[in-house]
Formats: sequence, structure tokens, C-alpha cells
Amino acid sequence: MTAAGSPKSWLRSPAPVRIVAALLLIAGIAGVVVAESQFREQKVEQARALARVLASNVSAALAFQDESEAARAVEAISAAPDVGAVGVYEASGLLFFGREGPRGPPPARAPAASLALFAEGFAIAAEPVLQNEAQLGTVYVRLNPRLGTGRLVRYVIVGLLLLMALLVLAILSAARRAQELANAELERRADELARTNAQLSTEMAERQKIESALAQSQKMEAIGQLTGGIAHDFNNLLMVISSGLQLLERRGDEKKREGIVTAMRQAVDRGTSVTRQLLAFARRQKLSPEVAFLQERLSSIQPLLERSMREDITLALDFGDEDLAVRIDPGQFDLAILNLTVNARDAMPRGGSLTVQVDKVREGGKWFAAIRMIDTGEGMSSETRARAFDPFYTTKAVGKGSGLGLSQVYGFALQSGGRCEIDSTPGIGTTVTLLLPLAEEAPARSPVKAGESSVTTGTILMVEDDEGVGAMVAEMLTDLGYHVTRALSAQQALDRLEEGGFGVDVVFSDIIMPGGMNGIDLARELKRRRPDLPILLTTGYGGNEELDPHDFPVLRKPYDQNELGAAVSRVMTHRPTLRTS
Amino acid sequence: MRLRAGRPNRGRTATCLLALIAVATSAHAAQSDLEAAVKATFVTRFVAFVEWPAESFATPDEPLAVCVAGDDAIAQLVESAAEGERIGVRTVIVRRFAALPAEARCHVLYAAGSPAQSVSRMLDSVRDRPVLTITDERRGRTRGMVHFVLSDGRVRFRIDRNEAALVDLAISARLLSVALSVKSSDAS
Repeated sequence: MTAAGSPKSWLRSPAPVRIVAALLLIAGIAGVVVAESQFREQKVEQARALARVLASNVSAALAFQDESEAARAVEAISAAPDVGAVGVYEASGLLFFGREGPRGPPPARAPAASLALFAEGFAIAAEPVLQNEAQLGTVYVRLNPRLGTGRLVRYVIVGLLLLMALLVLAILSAARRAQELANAELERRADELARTNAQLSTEMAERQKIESALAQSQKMEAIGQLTGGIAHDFNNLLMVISSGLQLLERRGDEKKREGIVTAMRQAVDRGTSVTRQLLAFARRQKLSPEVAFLQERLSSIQPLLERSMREDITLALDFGDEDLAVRIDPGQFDLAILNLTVNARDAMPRGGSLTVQVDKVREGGKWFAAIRMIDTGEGMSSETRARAFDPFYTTKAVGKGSGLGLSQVYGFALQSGGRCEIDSTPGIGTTVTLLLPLAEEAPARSPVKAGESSVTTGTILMVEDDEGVGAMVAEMLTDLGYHVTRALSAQQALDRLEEGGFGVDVVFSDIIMPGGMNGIDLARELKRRRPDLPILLTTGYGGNEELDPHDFPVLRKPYDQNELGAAVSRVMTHRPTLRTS
Repeated sequence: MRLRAGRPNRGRTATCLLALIAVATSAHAAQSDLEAAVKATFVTRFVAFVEWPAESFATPDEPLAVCVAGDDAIAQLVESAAEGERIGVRTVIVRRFAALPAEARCHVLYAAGSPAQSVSRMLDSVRDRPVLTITDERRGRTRGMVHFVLSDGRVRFRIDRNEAALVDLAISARLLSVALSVKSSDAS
């Protein structure tokens, strides 16, 4: 690419343009040359004609030495245009009569008798003066052709036409060059744009990474700030459990034992709730929505809700006539309901009732499921209500609440395409309404209603590296009616299955394990080897799914026997081919 | 306009020019040799401007005869002027006579007149024949077809076209254009 206005740009014009320009120039010059040559011939012819006329008219004057007659004859032809010097010569060659032209006199001596030529800008002709074949002398006529207006105009027109043609060519050439330059510029800009775009993309990605890191660090900072409260909370919980255990060792009274066990269970539930919230909060958690029936969902967590209540609170579930299907992340839904339940419980320190009501509402042309949690507690001030969804905002005493519960509910509702509303009157109670859009497609209804542990027999291969946890969970499973065989690592589990593991109905594995192969790896390997074998994973960590996405069911620690039983029963009833033993 | 003199190529021209100069300087003097020479030259030149009927020549190459009657001096001058003169294939010959015989064969007659034969008698002898007759005012009032006069010191001539026409002589218009006067039936 050359810069515009380069002095060589003309030379670099395309070959056809140059050839045409050259041809035009040659044609123009040839035209002028031909025209000039014709003009000269014409002038010479004119001079010769004038010489002939003069020769015939001057014969008598020459013969009889009549100068005045010769002058008349000369004068007669001088009326013709461009006539310059004229000479009348005697037969001896001497000048008899001469007329001086604007550019000099005629020659002193007669030229050759017959002459017609164009020389030095003159058209010259000489003719013999004959009378009855006798030569009486010679005449000489010289024309001084001026660059007449006609001739000048012709040349100017030819010149102008040539100039115009060259100009048109120049313009065409320039236009072509301009187009080339414009194309090059366009290309350059496109490149630039692409570069800028790439740079922008990189910057955006960088920014997203930084923002995500910032958000995470903010969360961690918040968790750090909460640590004191949580530690206090846990100390209290542990205090309840340890003192309860001591009391249980001593007391034999069945009724008192039951009270102590209830207090201990509540403490454990509370601890569970706190850790779950913390994990959910700390995790870079994404929703994995699926279509679920609310009635089924709520029924399955009813025992959990009941246990999180105190005895002085009654829990009522009112599902209405229709079982509504919504698209939700089940874990988050359960957590939201649990959070609302715990909040309701804490709002009713002197007892009361919590009603969970589900019905269908229409808003803005769309159908929603409205889940109302109606308590008869203390209610909220308008200020509290306004800030209720803010993270870490809490009215509870230090150690009683983290301020993350309603925040989770709010986030869940928004992420599910719905919203959350609080209606509260101090002293009368609070109604929290969770609005979730109804699913358009029908869910795959479970063949067995949740909450009914219909399958409580079978052999479970439990993979757990922690001896204490393994012993406790094995006890819980045995208590539920399952036969348990244990493995301490993924490799050991695979070996066990190879040995004759066709008696195994479910594999229940921890995710984080030593030995290079974790629970997810094991699950994948098992799925490859035995696609029909149900697998249930468990973990106390929050980040695994983010690091290594998979689609195996996970039971989060800590869990109790009921949750364990429900989870095992669910994976067994959902497996592709049900094994009966 | 100017007239240039130079070295003469032929004696005739030189004489002619000298005559003109001489005539110009001595107007109305008696006929000088130079005047006579000019006239002699003119006589030989008239033949180029005149057409004779075809029957006046016996053969296509018969010489054109210029007869000078009555003046030997003039005759000599005419002879020298006509020397080498040609009209086409015809040569020009000069015949001199003291007195013109009736049977004399002439195409041009310069009638100078002599004591033996007057100018008018000379003209009579060629009357009704296609002969260009030339007379001179110095030799009397009788006029031929061409009549020499002296005008402004120059040798000029008058032409009688009618006389020429009577005998089928065609005089060129170019000759008429240099004549001092023309007598013509179709001219006023």
C-alpha cells in the first residue's frame, strides 16, 4: 500500500489506463501533425494557384514593360489571404516588379521556373509566365500563413479534448486508487476492531475473574467476622450436647431423658442449619433447577421441619387441592423453607403456630405457586422488615443467628424467577410469601411418594475413610434395616465389588478420601462398570461440585438417620432397574 | 513598388531597358535609336498575343513572317530582336522591303512608310488579308491595327480591334490591357 498523493501514483496507475493515455496522446499528436501537413499542402496549393493567376495576368505587362499593369496584377492577387512577398521576373531572371511582404522582399533573382514548397513557415510557389508557349518570365508568390483563428481553434479544441480525456483517465485512476486505499483502510480498521475486541474480551474475562475473586473474598471476610458468633453458637450447642449426655448417663427417668434428647437434637439441628447456611454462602453455588411437586417436596422435609420446632409450636401444612409443579433447585428450596421455619420458631419464644400454606396465584399473566409461612410471633417493625433481606442483618442476639437466613431465601426466590414478600404486624405475627413460577412441563413423578421409605432392605457398600464416622453411619443404616459392608478407600471398594459384589445394592461413598481416587472418580468408574448400580455420595465440603461437576446425588454432612434413610431409599427407587433381593 | 535593373541576359532586353531610360530622360526628342529598339522589341512581342486564322499558314511549322517595310534601320533592329524567337514550333523570321509588293507573304507588317510607298499604300497592299498591321505616329497619321505613340516619355500603343476582327485576327485581352487605348465595336 502506498500513501495517497505519492508522486509516483500516476506511474503506478493500472496498465490499461496508461496504455489508453499513451494512445490518446499519440492520436492527438498524429491528428495535429496530419492537420498541419494538410494545412501546409493546402497553403502551397493556394500559393501555386495564385502564382498561376499572376503568371497569366502579368504576361502582357512583362512583355511590354508595363509596370503599372504588373502592379495591378500583383495587387489583384494580394487581396488573397496570407499573401506576402510577390515577384515578377523577366525571362533574364531580373526582378521586374516586386511587392515586399510583411517578412521581407521577394528574392532578387528569379527562382527555378516551377516551384511549390513549404519552407521556413512560408508557402512558396513560382510559375513561368508563358504566352503562346513562349516564356516571358517568372512569377514568385510567397504566403505567410499566420496561425489563423480557425487553425488555432482547431488545435485548441484538439488539445482540450486530449486534456479532457487525460483528465478523465486521471480521475478514473485516482478513483480506483482511492477505492483501493479505502479498502485497505477498511481492512486495517477491521483488524483494529478485531484486536480491540479481543483485548476487550480479555479485559472483561480478567474483570470477571477479579470481581468473582472480590466477591469471594468479601464473603470470606464476612465469614471471618461471623466466626466469633458462630463459635459462640457452637460452644452453646456443644454445651447442650455434652451436658445432655452427662445427664443421660445419670438419669433413668424416661420422661426426663426424652426432654434432654429433644434439647440435644434441637442443638444439633441448629448446628446443622448454621453449617449448611455457611456452606451455601461460602460456595460459589449455582442453582441446578429441576421440576418438582411442592406437596411432595414439602412432605419429604416435614419431619425435618417438625424437629426444628419446639414442642410449644404447632406446625400445620395446608397444600390445597392441587399439587403444584415448580422449577426449583431442591436443596436450596429445602434450605429456604428450613430458614423460614427457624425464623418463625425464633419469632415465637412463647409458643404459637406455624402454618405452611400453598396455593396458586396469577400475576402479570403468569401463574405462580405461593408458599405462605404464617406465624403468630412477635412480628417485625417496618424498619426491620425493610432490612430483613439484607445479608448479615439480624435482630437475634449474638450466637442466635447469622443474618444469612432470609438473605438466602431472597436469593433463591429471585434465582428461581419468583420473589419473596414479608407481611408483618408487630404483636400479631408475620407472613412470609415465597412466589415461585409454575413449571410448564410436567415433572417425572417419583414412583414412590417421598417420605415413605418403602425400600429399607438391601446391601449397602459404604466407602468411608474415617473410622468413627463409618462406625456411626453403619450403625444408623443397620438400624434402618440395611446390611452394610464397608470399604476404607475407593480402590478397596472396587476390589470388594470385583470379589463378588453382585450382592451390593447401593454404593454410599464419601467424596473426599485419600488414595488418589475420590468418591466422584469412584462413582464414574462404577457407572462405567455397573450402570444399574445406585450410587449415593456424601460430603461435608461445599466446593466439590464447582471444582468437578457431576450428576450423582449427594447427601450433605451432617445428616441424621431420617435424612440418610430418605436419601438411600430415593437412590434405590430411582435406579434404572430395581434389584429385588 | 520598384523597378530593378540588372545585368541583361539578352541584348534585346538590355536595349529595351536602356531605351526606356533614354526615352524617360529625353522626352519629345527625335526618335532615338533606343526608342526604335523598344519598338522593334515590341513588334516581335505582339505575335505572342495574336492568333491568326489557320489558313494563313501553309504548314503547321511554317515560320511566322514579320515584314518591315520602308525603314532598313528598324528592320535591322527587329531582326535582332526576333532572333531565336519562337511561337510554339514556329520560328519568327523578318522580311524587309523598301516597298511592299502585293504578293508579299506577311503575318505582321510594320509599315514605316517611305518616299517610294506611303504608309497607307503599304496597308492597302495587305488589306483584307490576316496581317497584323503596325504603324507609328512618327510616320504619319495613318493607323494600322497597332499604332505606336509616345506617352509620358514611354513607348505605348493604341489598338484597333475592329480592323483586326475584320480579317479574323484575335488579339489577346492581355495585350489590350496594356494598350493606351483600344478601338473596339463592343467597347464604348
